[in-house]
Amino acid sequence: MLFRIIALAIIAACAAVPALLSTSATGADQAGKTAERDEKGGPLVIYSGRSKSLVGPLMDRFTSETGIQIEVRYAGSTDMANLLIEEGRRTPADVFLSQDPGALGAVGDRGLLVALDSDALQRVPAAYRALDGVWVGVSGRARVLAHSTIRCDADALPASVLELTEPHWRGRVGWAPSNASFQLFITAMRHHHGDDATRRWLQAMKRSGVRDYTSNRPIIQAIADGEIDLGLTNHYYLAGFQRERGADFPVANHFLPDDVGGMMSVAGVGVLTESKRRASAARFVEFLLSDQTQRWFARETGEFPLTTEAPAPEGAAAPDIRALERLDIDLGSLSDLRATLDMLRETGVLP
Amino acid sequence: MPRSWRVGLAIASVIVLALVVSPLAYIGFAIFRDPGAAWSAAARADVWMLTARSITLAACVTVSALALATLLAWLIARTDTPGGRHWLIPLALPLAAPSFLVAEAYRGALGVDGFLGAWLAMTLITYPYALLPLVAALRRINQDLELAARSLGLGPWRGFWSATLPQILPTLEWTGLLIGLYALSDYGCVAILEVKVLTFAIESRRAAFDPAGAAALSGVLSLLALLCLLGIGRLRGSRGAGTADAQTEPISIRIPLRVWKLPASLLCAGTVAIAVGLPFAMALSWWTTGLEHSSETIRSTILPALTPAARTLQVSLITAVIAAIAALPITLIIHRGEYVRGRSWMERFGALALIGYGLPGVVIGFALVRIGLETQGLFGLYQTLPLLLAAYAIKCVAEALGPATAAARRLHTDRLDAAIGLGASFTRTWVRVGWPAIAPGVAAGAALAFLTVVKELPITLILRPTGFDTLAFELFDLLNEARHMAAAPMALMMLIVSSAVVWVLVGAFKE
Repeated sequence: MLFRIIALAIIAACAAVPALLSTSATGADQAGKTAERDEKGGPLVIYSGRSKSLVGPLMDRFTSETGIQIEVRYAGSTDMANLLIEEGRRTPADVFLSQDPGALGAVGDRGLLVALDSDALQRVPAAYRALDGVWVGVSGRARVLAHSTIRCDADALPASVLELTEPHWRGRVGWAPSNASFQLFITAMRHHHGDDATRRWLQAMKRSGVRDYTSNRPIIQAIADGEIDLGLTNHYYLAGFQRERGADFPVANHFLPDDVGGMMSVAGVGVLTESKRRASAARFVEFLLSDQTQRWFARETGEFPLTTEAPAPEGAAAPDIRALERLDIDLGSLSDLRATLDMLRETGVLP
Repeated sequence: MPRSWRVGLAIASVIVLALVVSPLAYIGFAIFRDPGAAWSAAARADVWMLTARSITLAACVTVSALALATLLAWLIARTDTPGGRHWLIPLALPLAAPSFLVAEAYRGALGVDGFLGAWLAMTLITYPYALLPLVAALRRINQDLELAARSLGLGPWRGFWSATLPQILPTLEWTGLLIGLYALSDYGCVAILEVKVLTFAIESRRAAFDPAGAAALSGVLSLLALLCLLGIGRLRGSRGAGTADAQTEPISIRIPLRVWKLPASLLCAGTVAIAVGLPFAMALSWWTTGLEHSSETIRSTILPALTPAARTLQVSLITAVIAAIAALPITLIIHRGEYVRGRSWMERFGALALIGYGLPGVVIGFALVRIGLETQGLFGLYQTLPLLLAAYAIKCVAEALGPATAAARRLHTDRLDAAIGLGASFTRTWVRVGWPAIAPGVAAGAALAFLTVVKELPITLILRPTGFDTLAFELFDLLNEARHMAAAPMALMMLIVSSAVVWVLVGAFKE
């Protein structure tokens, strides 16, 4: 026993000494940084709701192209938005890069984001940016029906999510009600079909035994595992599975170009009111909307470019970016998340 | 105890307690910032359903985890199960698996979800908390009582019930409390298995950017945790002093299992296979499938896991030490309380330090965000390592406290008095007699804290210094993007980092 404790103590000491040194160094750095920020600007602080494994390389390219030093903090978009709201005026962040418009809207609604440069805004169709110009979409993702290629007949797939309440689909469908993209889709549905129709649809889906998942990835996994046959997800998660499990992975995306269930949502970016590095922040927004980065999204993340100049990703039977306009939906006006959540609770979809 | 010690211990305990209960203050603050929203979240009819489901889940998990742990501990410590104590290390390894990984493995491989799935998953995640201390307790119990029971003609079952069980009851009590609080506060498992409990609802309020609503529901959750703690305090108070007469001779009777040998071995092997094998087999299969379909190599996928592993090791070890040190003053005060008036009051006061374990990580995280911001001008700790470590410590003090107080309970003051009577100074007495007696308990508690930090996610996400990305963070980040192949080495590295500590833990409880 004594030996084990001594061994542990030695390991602890080995690990603790550098850690403590780095702590004091970080502390000093931090103090230094704060001072530096006030004088010279310091690194651009980016709060990213998008994963490090996804946008990390993009961040590196930004620094190497512009010479602007950055410090990126990663967590889920919801966590990040809550953190920014808690920090309020004391936030160290300059830029908020979010996975979905809802989180940007929540931060913007509290007056924490500044209006962006109108040149940047103009490059993206009006449906994909905030009404007051405090955030702009940088890449698009379509809502799709991911389905089993084994147990679903490709010709018999529904043209609208409204058909999923038919007896044929009973117990075969999955969704992710706590996921932000799903909630945005419900908000859009309320705008498009009205509150009553949306409520009836949610209730009918519950009655027909829809199964709940935390997020998009487990839905695709569950389709592959045979737990369900079809799921309401974002289109680009499937690419990850295909990359690792080969092209014969038994799940495919079914796009619904003329249905609210196939709407396009975006990942977007906003700049914090408190930022002392507005010029660098504007460069970052510009960088995200540049042709090269838009192509990068199409190539690396399988998302849809949003600027009018950039081409769509290869192979995807993509809904064109004008689809939202046809549906008469504007992401900037879909900030009515609270009423959507109330409806989801009322219908027992969420606790 | 000299007066200076008493005052010092009291001050230290109060500081630790103030830190541990600070998230409660934050909950109150967030509620009063927007009472209307808090009320509309708390006054909904389904809050009762959520609360009832949380209580039921916690109760079911506690009972089944304790039952499984008692059975396994008894087989290992008191019978001739093949393999004997060598089962301890593999059986303790579920402590190394993050709950979201376990839940995903069960949902995928066993097809279980909902309440039953969460019940199974949490039982298999938490039983080691009870297993290790129970093995230690069963080795130490007073055998004379069992022999007496047998000579009075009681069968093995009734003998266990009337002679053995009462002796391990104190151990069952504190480990049961830890398990219950774990089940109340866990989010990773219930999220994946879709069980609509309080933590799930807190998260859905946060997703609606409704901090007051989330705080109101967190308030309900912390009331439940407080009731558990008070309940335990009352239980202890009514039963009188614990069993301080430790067995010094090693247990000599090993019950022959005969035809039950095979089922007993199968139970041990089956538990290991499902609780540890399944989650890590899933990670391994992610890895091998990914390697097959890409140009990556084993080496190129392992290398990115090394730096996060070093960071995880650092914060886990430091937190383990901090938690052990923070638990000491409370342990000593409770120990002193054993033999003086007001004991039950002191136990309750000490029990309050367990509250951190009953709070979800996000609540602790956001509480310290607030505290960090408010004191930023004073200390400048926001988004630094010390604040992260403080949050980990709030969560882990409970784990350090259990084994430490259990060890202290067996240290009879007669032994300390004898040393003092022989002329030793008070300090020397503690160094030579007191500390050796409680050291194994303190080490065991530190090891439990270590294992919790290795897999901790929500606090890490919220409070880590920017760029300080640990194994748990990387696993979360990579899985978000369905990068299973790159995620697998992170999960396996967690197992490796934890295994060494499980080895220490097993040793500590063996003493």
